[in-house]
Amino acid sequence: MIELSSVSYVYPGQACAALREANLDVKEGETLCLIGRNASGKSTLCKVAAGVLKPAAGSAKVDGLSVGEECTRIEIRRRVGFLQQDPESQFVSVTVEREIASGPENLGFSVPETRKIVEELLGFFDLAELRKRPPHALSGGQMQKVLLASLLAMRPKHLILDEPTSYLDPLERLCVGKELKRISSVLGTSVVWVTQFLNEALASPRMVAMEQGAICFDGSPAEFLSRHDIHSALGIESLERFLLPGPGLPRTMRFR
Amino acid sequence: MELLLDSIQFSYDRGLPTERIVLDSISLRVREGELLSIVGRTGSGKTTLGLIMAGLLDPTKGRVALEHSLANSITPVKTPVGGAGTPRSRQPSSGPPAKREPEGADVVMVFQFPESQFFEESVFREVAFGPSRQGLGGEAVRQRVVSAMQKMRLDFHALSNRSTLTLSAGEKRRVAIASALSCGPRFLILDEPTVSLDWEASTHVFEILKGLRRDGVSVIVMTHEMEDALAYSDRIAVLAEGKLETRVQPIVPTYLTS
Repeated sequence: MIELSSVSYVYPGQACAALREANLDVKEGETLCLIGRNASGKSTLCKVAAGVLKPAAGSAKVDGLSVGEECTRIEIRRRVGFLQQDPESQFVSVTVEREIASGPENLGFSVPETRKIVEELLGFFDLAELRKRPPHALSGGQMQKVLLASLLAMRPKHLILDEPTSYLDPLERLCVGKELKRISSVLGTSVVWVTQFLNEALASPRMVAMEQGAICFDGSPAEFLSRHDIHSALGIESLERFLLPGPGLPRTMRFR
Repeated sequence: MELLLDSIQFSYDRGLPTERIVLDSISLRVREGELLSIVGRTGSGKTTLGLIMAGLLDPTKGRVALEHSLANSITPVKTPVGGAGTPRSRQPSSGPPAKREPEGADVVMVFQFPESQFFEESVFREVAFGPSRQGLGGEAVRQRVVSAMQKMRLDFHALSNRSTLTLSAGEKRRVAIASALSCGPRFLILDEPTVSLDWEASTHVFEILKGLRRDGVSVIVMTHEMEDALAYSDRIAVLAEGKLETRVQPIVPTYLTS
């Protein structure tokens, strides 16, 4: 369980708080989509929830472990899989398969187990042909798939994903969404998923919206649809374009 | 002026057993003042094609050139830099009023990852980099920066002294586009320009691109966002299995129906 209570954060040298008294509970096996305008604090919230940033005020806990303390840091990192925004800056290995294997290897998974996980993920993400390629030489979408695969390979209890599908094409976005749903229900993984694609958010069971560092909405998509005050606060003029042909499909799919 | 691609072929790992042809006999003419969207699945070669158009990658076969439609002279594309671009020759100040600003760049590319084109210390210097290398004076550079930042809805006072590294992803994207706009390009290539932008900002970017087109700038967008591509483009080209399929009217790309 991830528990943020009245969390605030100010970046060094900045006058404005990036995060203002944010409260958020994410239960085991729960999936939520985090939306909001640019610079509204989504990534900062992710960094706190992932144990990367220590809150300036308030408290953040992952499975009861306090974020920002030396003694809990390693344990929190082990439990939380965190995908950051810039794909290029997150690679540690020289080939795609080594990249995916590096997590389970470092966590002490056995060789056959690691191999099995890597093969499964290479297959699922359609990366088998690229296995010997350096991750840096891939396209943006392929990089994102490798990063997602390497994160899933570690079987984390919580996934914090900061725009994990932004460089993927519409069909791949749909597949990744389905897979995350499956993982969450089968393994009980909790998923916090930042997205700029409103249709992805509307298809998730819970939506959280941020504006100017504060959480301004936390509820179901059905509730979100009826909150016109929130729509205007978020600068969403019309929701209709995100609603066709049905939740779960990328909005571009309606051009079929 | 038109940007011409003539039978372009490109392969990675040339001469190695792993050689793969990514682009195959691609010919394309980008007209003056058109908005062309190039769509295709992940890994279909959109970025590679963009880099070739910008003169940053040499094709294995074929030719990229800028063609002056009036003078019928052909200039090969020189190597521009993401966010900077090749200098354009000064036009005479007398005569009919020029549509564009007197100095600018021929081809400018905005990269897929904003981080890979930033190298200055502050947002101001980043956006000023292009125009200050086109022989403009301090005040003219400043004007270009102010106008480009304003266009991209970046708060000049709040952001111009900030380090680009401290910005949010959406702000980085907008600074990257602003630093291309400040060059005054004739051809502007944008690789996934709306990734990590919110719904308001991505519509806004396409509105700006439409505005540029009216000023005679040719805009080439590599994107996954079919809805935006369909709504704003004059032409859509689909890149699949190394081939580029161009249609005069924006149509549904085959990859969405398969």
